[in-house]
Amino acid sequence: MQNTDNQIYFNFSYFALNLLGKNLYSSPLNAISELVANGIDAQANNVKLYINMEDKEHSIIEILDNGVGMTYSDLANKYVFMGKNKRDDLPEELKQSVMGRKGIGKLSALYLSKKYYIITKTQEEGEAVWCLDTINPNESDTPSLQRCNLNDIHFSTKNYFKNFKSGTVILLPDVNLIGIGAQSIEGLKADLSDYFLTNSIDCKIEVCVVNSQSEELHFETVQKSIAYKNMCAFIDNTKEDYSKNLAEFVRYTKSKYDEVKNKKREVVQINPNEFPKLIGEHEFTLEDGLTKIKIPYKVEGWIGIHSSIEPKYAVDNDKKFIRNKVYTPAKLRLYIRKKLAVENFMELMGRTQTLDNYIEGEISFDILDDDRLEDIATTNRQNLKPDDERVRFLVKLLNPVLGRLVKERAKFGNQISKEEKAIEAEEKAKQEEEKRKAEAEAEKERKAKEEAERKKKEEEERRKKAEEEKRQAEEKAKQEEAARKAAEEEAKNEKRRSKFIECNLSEDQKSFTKKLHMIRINLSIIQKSIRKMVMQIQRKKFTVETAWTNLKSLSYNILRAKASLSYSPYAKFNTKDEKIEGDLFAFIKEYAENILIQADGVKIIVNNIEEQNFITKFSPQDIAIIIDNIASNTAKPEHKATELEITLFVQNDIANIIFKDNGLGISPKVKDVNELFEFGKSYTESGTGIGLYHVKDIVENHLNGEVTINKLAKGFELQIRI
Amino acid sequence: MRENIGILWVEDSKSYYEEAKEILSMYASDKGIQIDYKYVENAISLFEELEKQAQGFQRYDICFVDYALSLPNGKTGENIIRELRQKQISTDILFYSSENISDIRETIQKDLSSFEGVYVADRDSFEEKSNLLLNKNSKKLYSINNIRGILMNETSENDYIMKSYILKEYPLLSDEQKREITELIRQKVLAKTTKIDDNSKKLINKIEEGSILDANKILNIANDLVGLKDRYEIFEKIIQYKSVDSLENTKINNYLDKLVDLRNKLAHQKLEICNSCKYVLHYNDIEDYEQKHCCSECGDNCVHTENNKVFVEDWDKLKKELVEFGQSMDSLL
Repeated sequence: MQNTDNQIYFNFSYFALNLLGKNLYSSPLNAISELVANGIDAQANNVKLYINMEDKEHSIIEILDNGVGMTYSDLANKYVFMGKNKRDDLPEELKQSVMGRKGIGKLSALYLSKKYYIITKTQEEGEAVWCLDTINPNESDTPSLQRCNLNDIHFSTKNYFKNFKSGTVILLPDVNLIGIGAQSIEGLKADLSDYFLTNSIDCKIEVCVVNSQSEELHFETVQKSIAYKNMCAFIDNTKEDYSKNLAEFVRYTKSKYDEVKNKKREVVQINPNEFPKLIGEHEFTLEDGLTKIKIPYKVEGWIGIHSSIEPKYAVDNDKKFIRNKVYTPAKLRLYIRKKLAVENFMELMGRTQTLDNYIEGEISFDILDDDRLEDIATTNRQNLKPDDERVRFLVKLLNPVLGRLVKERAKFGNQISKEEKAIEAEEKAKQEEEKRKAEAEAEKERKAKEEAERKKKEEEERRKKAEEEKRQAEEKAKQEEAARKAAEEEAKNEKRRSKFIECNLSEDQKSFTKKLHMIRINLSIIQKSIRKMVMQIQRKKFTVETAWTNLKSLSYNILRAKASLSYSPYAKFNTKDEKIEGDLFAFIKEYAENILIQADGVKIIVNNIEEQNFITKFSPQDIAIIIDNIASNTAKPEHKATELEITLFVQNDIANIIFKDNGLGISPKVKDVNELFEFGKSYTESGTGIGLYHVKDIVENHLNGEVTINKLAKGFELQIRI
Repeated sequence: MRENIGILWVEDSKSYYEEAKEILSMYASDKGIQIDYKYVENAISLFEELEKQAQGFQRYDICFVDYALSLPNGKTGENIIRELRQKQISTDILFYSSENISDIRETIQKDLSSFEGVYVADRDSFEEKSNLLLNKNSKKLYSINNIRGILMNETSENDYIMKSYILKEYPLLSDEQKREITELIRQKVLAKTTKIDDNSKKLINKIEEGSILDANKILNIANDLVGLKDRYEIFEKIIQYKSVDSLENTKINNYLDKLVDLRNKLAHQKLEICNSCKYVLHYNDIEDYEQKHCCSECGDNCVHTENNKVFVEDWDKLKKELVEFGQSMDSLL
């Protein structure tokens, strides 16, 4: 473009060119895919990508297409024109299929390599080679393409290119691919396949990666590798029928139960008609930012939700599931004009549910690149403006769809946890059953062993007894002899003899002494109380109040000693311990019937009609004190009672013990029955007023219960609740 | 918390515990010691308590364990000893039993030899052995940290009770009595002529106009106008009105003159135990120290000036007085 008298054109330098190229892409792969897109836009039906990674830092890349190629005039007027809209010069029918619009894509070659060659072949002009070299130019110079000699240029795909009638090769001789994640051709194919809707473009994209000089060129077609068979719910509104890729059933192999793991779960296919708004007409603002017009739009594609995103389980459903540090399959890819626009649109959705991470899909929304509307891209070519009205509109359209899929996956998850819980419960029950069986078995064994031991012991005892008898007979003879001698001796010497104290105790006597342990303790407490009083008097701390306290303690411990004395000879439990654990009701019944009965002239009746138990920890001495005291009250002659009825029952986990006699009842002198519980207050001639105090003290302070006296017309009734 | 020795007591007969505890407390109080008791019924709780202590502050100095205790799993005293040794408990432990002492000794003989701080007693020698352990552990109360600590602790507790008592009882006095106390305050404030500022003038004016002060107001008057001794004087007056006979005013005066005075002295001075171990020496400042400090030969014929030493016997007496005074204070609330 020549400047004229009235017009001066802008121009730009190498510096500006490099600056532009640098910032457009975020990774070499983005830039490579841009160059592939340019090939597709040149109406090619085959684009070949050759990458030589022998020296990864200085890789060689060649991108071949069999498109229309570029004539001198194409290069001079269009290629070097930055920002030239390709669609401007195309017939209407081609316009819609063209991916590029801005004429910026060619800068991606510069992003990759500071120097590159364009080898192009057209039917009109044949082959030509051009080079853009920005390595050592004067920065302020205007960049230019330099023609080169075809014979000087060597490139690996030359033979393929020869077979093309027309087309273009972009040769990038020095590309740093250190940052690129994909090591293998498989990885690269997977990465690259994301960039295009390969199913719906009429162009075969092939890749060849060479890692060493000796390798032969071998191109493989780029195809999407999507783990459809791992998806448990799916929606598709394309004409391609992606749902044919789905499995009929999926499994959830993460479960630790085989039954859950192997269960086939039906894949849910959601009818796109549930979401009629995906296709329609909407009012958008034109590029001028003012005018609004209605434009038809369509959100097209498929979205699925994976049953699992942990590779080790997902591959059980579909081997294609790949997930590593750099690559995550579960993404919602947004395509504009069949080319990847947003790698993961989920990031723009503003959703936060965990299950959102299970979503994968590929959708197109071409309205984002409608020529009439403002350019959606930000300066970084791969991102969209999140606040653009079209982006917000798309978010609104997609939300219910994603919600529906997540709901299905949640249903799927709930079903699994329900099944697992059921199995767990079953297993637990089974375990318990087994444990119970094992215990019963052990018990049986134990008993058998005991029986065997018992027999052995008996045998042994019999043997010993026989020996002993023999020994005794001998002994006896000896003793008789000795006794005879001793008698003679005694008669002679009047020797000392044990008259009052046994030298040795029999086993019975020993065990009786042991049973009296508690009495010994009670006496030592009584001794302590006395010692305490002496000390209090010595220290002038003995008051009426301390005297009462001491008397209560003395009285309590004397009663305990008495109680121990009465039951210890009969006790079948460990009398050494302060408290025993067992059925309190049984203790009361047995105590009343076997021990009390001997002491009092009153008839004792114990009622436990429903034969209930009350298992608890209790002090036998305390319980005995309670029963003794109430019974001794009943037995007082002035009460004229002949019967004491003890009723036992449990109600709401509370033990009730009711004592009732058929005597004269409480003296009319008593105004408040609670006075009967006071220490030292008695209304009868023979009473000291101590018994009921201890009953109350024991029930309230030792058993955490309550005690009440019920006023009756006839007789006396006392109720204890524990 | 006035207690200075902690005892963890495991005994299944509560009445034995209660009687024995009171006897021990009387002995302790003879020595000016107050005991913090923790009673547990079984060995499981014993281990729980010791575990808590192992993770946190030391609460117990001594454990009393009934050797005849049986554990639910059939363990007896013997097993308890073994378990305690595994846990490396630093607390002194006294096992007692109503069995003959020789029987216990025999069963735990080999455990005892490898286990420091374990003692055995039967129920009759329990008193003697528990006293022994009390004495052993109370020795720590003669260290400098403890002397200072006991004084600070006791006097702070007393101050707290004095203030709380005024807050609680003053409002219940008759107007006549309140007026007398208000007048007392006026005199106290007027006596501090050098400290009188605008606020105190306002206070005096208010009183002279016939106002009666309320309890909060009294306690909020600055310390330099109504000092600690003045406050105790108000406290004493209320006690007289209430005719409480457990605290005669001679006791209060003795407390203020001797004990609070000693607290004030020891709280701000350097303390040192004399080489003869018979005195605690206290020095006001470095000059004081350089002139009077204890020399390495200091022995039986130690010569320290009377006004910078406290005899160990005096400390015993003072400690006992402190405890007794504290107990009467405690009984007020």
